[in-house]
Order: sequence, then C-alpha cells, then structure tokens
Amino acid sequence: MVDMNTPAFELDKVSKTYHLWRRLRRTPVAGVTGVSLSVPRGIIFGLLGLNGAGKTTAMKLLVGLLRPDSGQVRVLGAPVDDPRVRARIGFLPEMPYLPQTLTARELLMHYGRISGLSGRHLANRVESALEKAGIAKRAGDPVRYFSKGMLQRAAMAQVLLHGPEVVFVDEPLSGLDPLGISEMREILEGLRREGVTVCLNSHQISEVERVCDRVGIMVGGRLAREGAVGELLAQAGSRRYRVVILARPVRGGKEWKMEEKEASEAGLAALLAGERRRGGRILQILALQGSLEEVVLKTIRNAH
Amino acid sequence: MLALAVRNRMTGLLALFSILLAGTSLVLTYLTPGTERRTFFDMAYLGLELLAVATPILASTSLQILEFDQRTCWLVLARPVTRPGYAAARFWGVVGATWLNILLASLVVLILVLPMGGSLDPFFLPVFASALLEAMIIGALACLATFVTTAYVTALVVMSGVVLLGYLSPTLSFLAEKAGNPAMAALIRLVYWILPHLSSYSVRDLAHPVETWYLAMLAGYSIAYTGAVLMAAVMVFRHREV
Repeated sequence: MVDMNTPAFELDKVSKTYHLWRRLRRTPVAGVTGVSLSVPRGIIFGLLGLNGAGKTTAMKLLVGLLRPDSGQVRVLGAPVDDPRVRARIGFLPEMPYLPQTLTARELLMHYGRISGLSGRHLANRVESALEKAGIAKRAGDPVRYFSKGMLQRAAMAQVLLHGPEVVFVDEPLSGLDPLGISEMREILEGLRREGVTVCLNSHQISEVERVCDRVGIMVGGRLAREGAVGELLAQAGSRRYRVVILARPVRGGKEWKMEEKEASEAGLAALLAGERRRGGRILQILALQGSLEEVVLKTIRNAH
Repeated sequence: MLALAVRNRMTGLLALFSILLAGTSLVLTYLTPGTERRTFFDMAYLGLELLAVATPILASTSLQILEFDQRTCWLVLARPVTRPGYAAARFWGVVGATWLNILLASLVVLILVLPMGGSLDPFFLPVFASALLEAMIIGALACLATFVTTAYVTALVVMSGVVLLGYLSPTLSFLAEKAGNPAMAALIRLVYWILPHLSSYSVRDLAHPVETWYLAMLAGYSIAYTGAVLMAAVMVFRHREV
C-alpha cells in the first residue's frame, strides 16, 4: 500500500565530505554540509546552483551511490540502502555511460533484468520505454552510433523502464537541441501527470522555472533556499513594474509621446509622482514577474 | 553478457590466441623430432596456465575501466543490486569467462592430439583442474585489486606483483628460514602466508605424480583463499565511493 503522505525523498542534516590526495596529504573537501530537505510526492523538484555547489553529490546520496558521513537519506520513507527502495527509483546521471556495443533494446533488457523484470512483462516494458523515449525506430542499433541526444534518450528509457515512483535526473537537457529539450520537458511533465516525483538537477534555470513546482538552491554544499517556485519569485522582492506613460509634448512641441519605463517595487511611487509632476498621464501599470535566475543569483550573492 | 563480450572482440582475441598457441605447438613438434608429444603438451600446459593467469587480470582491468572510469556501474548500483551481489557477480563473470576459455583451449588441445595417436598425457587432467582453481584465486585477487585502487594501471601493477611473488612463495619460505633477524623472519613468513602459493598450481613441475589427494588439497586451499580474498573485496567495495 503506497502512502502518498510519505515524502518522496528526504535529507535530514546530511553531510558528505570527500577526501582527496593532494601532495601526499589527505585533504577533506566538503560535498554537502548539513542539508535538510523534504520533497512531497508527485511534483517536479529542481536542484539549482553553481558548479561544485553539491547538487550531484546530493543526487548521488539520494540514489545510494554515496553514503553520508552523518545524517539520514530516505527515499519513499525508507533508507536508500534498501534494495527494495532502489527498485522503485530511476536515475539518469549527467553523463550517461552506456555499454557502447549493445543495441538500445539489449541495453534495456539488461537493465530490466537487473531491476527484477522478466519474461513477457520485461519485453513489453522495454518496447514501451523505447516508444516513450522516442528511440523505438533505432532500437536495433548499437548505442555507439547514437548522437548525444539519442544517447540521452536511451538513458532516459532505462529510467522509465521499470515504472519508478521517484526519478532523479542530473542535467537531462545538456547537449539536447531545442526539439530534444521540448521532448524531454514533455517526458518530465508526463511523469508528473502519472504521479511520479521528479528531482531535476539542471543549469538551465529557465527550463527549471518552466517545469518545476519547487526548487532548492544550493550554494557551497549547503541548501541556501528552498520553496515553491511562485513563492520564491514573490519573496525575492524581485517584482518589477512596467509603466506606460503618455508624456506631455516638450516645449514648443505639439505631439504627446508614448513612453515605457520600468521600476522596482520601491521605485514605483517615485516614478509615478515624477511623471505626474511633469504632466504625463499614466496609461498602464504592468506587474512584471521576476525571473528564477534573479532569485538564484541573488541567493548565491547573499550566501557569499 | 555474451553479446557484449563478442562485440568487444574479447572472445575473438582469445580465440586467436588459442589458435596461435596451437599453431606454435604444432610447429615446435616438427622441430623436435622424437619428442613431439612431450613438446606439444608442454606448450599446451603453458598456454592453459597463461590463460588462467592473464584472462582474469586483463578482464578485471578492462571491467575496471568500463565500470569505474566510464561509470557504467552507476546505472547498476542505483538499481536493486547490493554491493556484495555486485562484487560476486563481477567475480563469477570474470572467473566464468576464464573457465570457458580454459575449457575451449583444452578442447582444442584434445582435437589436435587425436591425430598423434596414443593415450592422453597423464598430466592433462591435473593441469586442466589446477588451471581452473588458479583462475579462481587470480580472479578473486583481481577483484580485490580493482576495488581497492581507482587507477587501472595501479591495479595491473599490483596484480602482476602479487602473482609474481605468489610464484616465488617457496623462495620466501626459504628466505624466512635463512633470515638471521627473527623480526625479519616473522615478516617474511607473514608475507608468505598472505600471498597465494601459486607455484603449487604448476602441477607438471611436481616431483611426484599428481594424485587425487593433492588436487583435493589444492581445491580446498583455493576455495578457502578465494573466499577470504572475496570477503576482503566485498568489505572494500561496501565502503568504496563510485
């Protein structure tokens, strides 16, 4: 029985430090530090941040490839160490390395068997995943002949194969052309419609803003901010206004001129007062939505 | 994954190696009139031992590159696969492939020996069995080495060193007896017990005929040693970051 109230995944005060050998010394390098996060089911959650912010480390912890030094990682209410939990998740790494000499179909059969599928059920799931990922026509070709976009689709097919409840995708849009990006977006939105939770790690902030319900912004291994996309945009104080003004003719002139000016929330009153003083008429005030990019950059700047 | 092995040309290369070995054996038999059979079997035994040692080392190294450097293990370990399960599958994959090669090479030997007539060499079956056991030990050591190190060159060097020292185990025993310093003698003895006694697997070099009890003892030692090394490999792999 699936409890829909259980979060899709949780990190509870999770820290992970890597140890690198530099000049014969074991040097600690923080991956993530004290990250706590709880993501409800059925949404697309975006992880944002600069390179080295800890996004991939967080994702590797969530799929069980890394073990935390401290804290707890739970997926679907259970520790991710449990193979039964991993049977219910899907993972698309940033650079999907697939055995190059296998065909796309053989590849999926292989991963399907590892996931515990067999017989007719496996064959059906493989064909369905090939179809969903848009590579059914090339299913018999070895993946070494695939373009980067096709490889990404093949890797996505192995994610969809066993019908996971939570999907972790690391930079799924990298290297894709605009059509590929659009199709990948459709796949992710389709998963959400089916009730699957998606954790999306991407540098393409505009895409994240477009598809994600909630986002977490990581800075220097810490979760600097987390919330619903709309809330973050509103809280960020990044709201701006576009004011359409009919400006008085300048001295000696006869023609009124249409002008557009932009102002922040704080500067709006001053702009309006100034225009009225000059005798201009305010025709329209449009509230402009701030972008997620602004929120991310502001969060990063504030954290440093 | 037979398809993967065939398309990676691994099996083709090994088949080519077997054919070359068989060809060389035949040529050498013509060059040594009167001892054709002896020369032929010596070459065949050398080939079987070489397969037992080289195949697990090379297969494990190529797997290390594929799994850890190219990170194909990520997509497997993020699935319902336990680390001990992964290590065991890796070990049996390598050992299974080696055993298959030894079996195929032995069949080639049998096919080639038929035209020479006469009975089968008495060392043939013991050499065949000891090659299988030796492959098991080398496979476990290769598994451990490729889990311990992150660089395949290091793994290759470590494995080659261990195998070489393993063949020199009687010399180590001799050195321990002759060492004047008790601490040094204890250290050499420790190394002697840790290293695999690979010289015991060269059954054709034994002074006495190979009897069943000897092969049984060799099998017991191989299983115990392989088990211990595999346990160490699993412990290392449990904590390895991939």
